[in-house]
Formats: sequence, C-alpha cells, structure tokens
Amino acid sequence: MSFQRVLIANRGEIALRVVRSLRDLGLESVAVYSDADAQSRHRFEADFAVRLPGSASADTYLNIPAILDALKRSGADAVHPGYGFLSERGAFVDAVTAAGATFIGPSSRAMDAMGNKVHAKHLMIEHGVPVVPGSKGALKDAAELQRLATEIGYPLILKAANGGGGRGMRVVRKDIELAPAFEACTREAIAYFGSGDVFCERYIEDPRHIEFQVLFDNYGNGVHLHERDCSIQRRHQKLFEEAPSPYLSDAQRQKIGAAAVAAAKAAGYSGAGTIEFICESPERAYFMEMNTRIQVEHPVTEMITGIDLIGWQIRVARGEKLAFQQKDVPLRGWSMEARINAEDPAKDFAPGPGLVTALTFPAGPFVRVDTHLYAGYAIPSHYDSMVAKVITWGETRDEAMRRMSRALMETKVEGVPTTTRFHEALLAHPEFKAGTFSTRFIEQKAAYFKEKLAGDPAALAEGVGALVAAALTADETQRGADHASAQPPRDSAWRRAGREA
Amino acid sequence: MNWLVKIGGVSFELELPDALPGAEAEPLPDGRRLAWHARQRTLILTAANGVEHNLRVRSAALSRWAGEAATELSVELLASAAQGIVSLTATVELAAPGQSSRGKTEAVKAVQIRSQITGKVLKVLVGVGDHVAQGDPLMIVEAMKMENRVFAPQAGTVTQIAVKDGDAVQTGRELLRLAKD
Repeated sequence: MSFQRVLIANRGEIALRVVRSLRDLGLESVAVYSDADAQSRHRFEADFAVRLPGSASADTYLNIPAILDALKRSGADAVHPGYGFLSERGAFVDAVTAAGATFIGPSSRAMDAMGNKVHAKHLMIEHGVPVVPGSKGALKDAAELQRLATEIGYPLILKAANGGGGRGMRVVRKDIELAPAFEACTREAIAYFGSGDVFCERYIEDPRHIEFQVLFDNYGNGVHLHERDCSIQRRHQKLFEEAPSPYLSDAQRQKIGAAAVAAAKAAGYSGAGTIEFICESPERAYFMEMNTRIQVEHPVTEMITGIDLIGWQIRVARGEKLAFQQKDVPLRGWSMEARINAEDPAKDFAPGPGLVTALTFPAGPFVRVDTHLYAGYAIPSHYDSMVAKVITWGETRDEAMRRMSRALMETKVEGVPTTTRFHEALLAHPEFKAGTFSTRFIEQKAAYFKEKLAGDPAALAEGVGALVAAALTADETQRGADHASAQPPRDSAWRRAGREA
Repeated sequence: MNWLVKIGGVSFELELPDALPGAEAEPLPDGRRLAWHARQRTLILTAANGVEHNLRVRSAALSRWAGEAATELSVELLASAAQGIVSLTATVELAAPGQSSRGKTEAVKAVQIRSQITGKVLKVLVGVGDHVAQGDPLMIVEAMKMENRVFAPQAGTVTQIAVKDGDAVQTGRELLRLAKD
C-alpha cells in the first residue's frame, strides 16, 4: 500500500492539481500525454512523463493497455485517475491492481455498485436514503413505462443507466411522446454507454443541484465535508459552483449530509466521492447519483474546510486513517468557482480552441486559479473546453461574490474566447445575488444573458465616446478651476514640461 | 549553431543558439537523450525506454565574455526526488565544435573568480603576487547598498586582477585569477 511514484492517468488542470498534492506529500509524479498534448503543461510539470502515441482519447487517455505500459516503464507504483476518462471504470481499477500498483480511489466493487444508477438507487432505498419516485430498475419495455407514467405523473425523465455528463437523457411530458423517447434513449444508451438499460423517474421542474462531498478511509470511517451548490448549469454542464449552498439551513445540511455518509458507507466506499442530490425544496432532497472520483469543483470544498481533498485521496490509498471526525470538519466562510471554458458565450457557447496569445490570471487575497494554460499554448480541439477554474473565498457569500467579480476583472485571455463574460453577467443578476436560482436559471434568463453577452459595437463606441466626453469635461472643469483661481497657470512646472516635451 | 556540451564528463553536441529555442541533442552514449523545450523552459532527459525526466529550469542564461571564445550556460534546475524538491545549479561550458574551449589547459592550474552580482567594485583587497588562503577576502563589491565580500574559493597566488576600485561589474565578469598551490 505504500507507494512513492504516482502515475496520473489524466491531463490538463487536474493532472497539475494532482502533481501539486503529490509534491506536498513528498511523492513523485508521472504524467502521460497524447501527441495533441505534447506542449501541455502537465507533461512538463510532473517529475516524469510518458508519451501515449495518438491524439484521440480512445487511443490515449482511455487506452488501458497503453497506460499500463507507461505504468510499467516509468516504475510508478500507484495511479491517480483524476476525473473523467477512466476515473469511474471498475475494469481500470482491476487492471491497475493486477499490475501490482495501488489505485487511488474506491474499490472496483464500490465503484461499480455506485456507478450503475439503477443499482445505486436500489442501495439507497435499502438504506433509507430518499430517492426520486420512478422505476425500480431498468425498464423492460414501453408498456412498463406507460404504466409508471400513469402512476407517477408527468413530466418524466428517461436516463441511460450507465450515462453521465448530461448525455443519454430525455424529458417526456405527454403520453404521445413516450414510446419514441424510450426507443431513442435506448438507442443512445447502447451507442454511447455500451448498455441499453434505461430507467425513468419523475422530472423535477425547477430543482437545485446540491451535492455532498464525502471522504472515507479503508477502515469504514467516513465524514461529509458539507455541500456544494452546482445549480448554475447549461445543458446539464456545470458552469459555476459554490459552497455551502444558500438553499440549505444548518439542520438540513446535517440531515442530508448524514444520509450521504450512510449512502457511501452502504457501498463500502473508500476515498473521496460525491453524492448528488436533486432538491425540490430544502426539505425534499432526493439521491440522484454518486460520483466515485474527485470532482471538478472540489476546490470550493477545500476553501471552506481547509482540507486538501486530493491529498487525502492519496493518504487514504496508502492506508492512513482519517485524522478527523464529523464534528471536526470546519465550515468557514463561503467559496465560489467559475469555470473558464474556451467557449464563446455570445455564440451559444461555441467552442474556440486555438492559440492563447496573452494571459493574465488573478491573484491576491483568497483567490485561487487552477489551470494548465500559459501564453503561447495552443488549446487542442480533441479534449474538454474547460481550461481554468477561478476560485474565491470570503467570510460571507457576498464577500466571495465581490471577490469573484474582482478576480474575473483581473482575468485576461487573448486569442481564444472564454466564458469570463458569462460569469460577470451571472454575478450581476439580482436573483443570483439573492441565491434564488434553479438548474434552469440560464434557460429561464436566456433573454437577460443574450442581451448582456451579445456585445454591440454601436453601444461600445457610444460607451467609449461617453467616457472620452466625461474625461474631456473633467479636464475643462479643471481648466475652468485653474482660470477661476486667478493663478497664472501658464508658467506652472507641468505646463512648461508639457511644452518642452 | 551546434555547441559542445559537457555534462558529467560526457561531451555531446547540442543545437543551442543564444535565444535558446527548442533543441534536441544526439543520444548520449548510454542511449539517453537530452532535449530543451524553450516554451516550457524544461530540459528533458529521456531514458532508452522512453520515460522522460523533467528538469524544470528556474533560470537559464547564456553568457559570453568579451575576448573569450566560449559561452557559458548557467542553469538553475529544479527536480523532485524522493527526499523532496532539489535545486541544482550548473554552469555548462559551451564551445562551438572545432574551437577549443576557454582556458582549457589553464583552468587546470588557474581559478577564475567571477562576480556573482552586478554592482560596483568598492575595494580590491589583494595585489598580484599575494598568496591567499581559502576563505580570505579578495575584494568588496557593492550592490543594492550592501557590501559583498568575494572570498578565495581555495588557497593560491593572485596572478591577475581584472578590475580596479570603482569599476562597475556585471554578473559573470572576471574579477581575478588565482594560481592553485
């Protein structure tokens, strides 16, 4: 269980993030990189690097034999999977273990138990964790779906049992849509997730997405590290996260948190994981799914607890016991994270890979930036568009929000479009400021965002004109003041300097 | 331009012009390869099995001294090892192939002492012919309102003094030479 050199089966900002925690723990890191990532920072930041030939994810970061070969050649004795890619594949855990290395994460058994949404839901029901009303398991056919629809009522959502990331889902609002939606969802499930299992549940119209971070050691000790509110999403992709959630009272937090810990314990979980809940109201939080890996938005939890989650993943994997109990987990202040994606929010978030020509990231008090960008880096088109995370902390939600505005103002990325402006528009919205929003916020405020993000050359010219006019007026006023003061200004030192210049 | 690089007693050619763009050297005799990645300021030592060892460069500067044929590449490298993060400082002498490197024969018996800082020579404390012991102060160089003493790295006799009181010196400028005992 003890290990010294850890291969990171991932890329980009999360690979860098893992390198940092490894270094903090005195451990060595091995990066793997595809040909498209030959200039990526994670290749250079790790102590060692091994090339994975090819650029497509399937040939590189998803290629288990290639990663095992890199593991063997580099002499690494543990693997950190990051998020995405192979991070939730039980088969990968088994392959790493069979190769004699430690997998930093839960057992393949716990991973598979929680990764399959139907199994996970069963397990939750058994342990008294509330779930959204729906089918007991995979749907047999459209007729079974019709019976359930009558029982639960519309709207319903169909989901691929092995799906994720917002794909393989369909909302059904009428009887007539039911059969075609079931067929389409099954087709997608087979095509993208390798299994045609589809289940259904009630579709909650204006839900909050609230997730609890849990952390377990290998000895059955586990805690939750409070919740994150990830309700700001676009097409089921999270864009902005915060911790804690302005939606929950402390009593609700303790209640749902205890359910999350019970859920993970039921699965024999170890390491860091996230239990996602969908909330109809603060009192009605239903288990949605468990992510058996580190999350993109883990830094907001680190900011309010002071606990290095990736550091603890590693420490748990090498056999350490948790050094704290539930009552010792702090909740201090508020933290927010804005995902900077290379996408143009004014053009329906169209991805914009390419060369970053100039770059400045924010710094200063209580600001953290996790990124793999550097000036001169060409963002490849093969992988995710998320290129940076700007994270802030404040004593209060308001302070964290103002600090985020300041941090975004300091953020300059030239050469590629980014979502920075979207976040500024978000922070300016009164309902966001008030903390009253659901996962449909962006959809519901489409007109607001369109207007804020459209950009209007005429308005810009007018705005610049107004600024210049204001500056000129100020200057005139100053001149007026100079004259009025009856002091002959023409011999003042700065005017003389101006003439001589 | 190709430069002759010596690391650990092994000489090999490396394409390494002044601007330090990307470059890859011919394989070392043991099959390892050394490459310089300009944009990432990283020296990569690749083992025969393809595993790359990253040596991050904190600073790298090429210095060419007036009247001397050779150029020095000073590199501060950072690497993680089992015992923690280590910082290595190396000065590699570069010579164009075919040219003899600076003071090669003389270096065996003479020690060149260069200024470690950019500043002003406040006072030269020794004269040509003086014998000094290891650790003896040789001169005082002032920079940023601080007096910095230059000490003899080993015992020897002063053979040459290249500066005088009041001279401005750049980092790397030769101050004096010692003939080893």
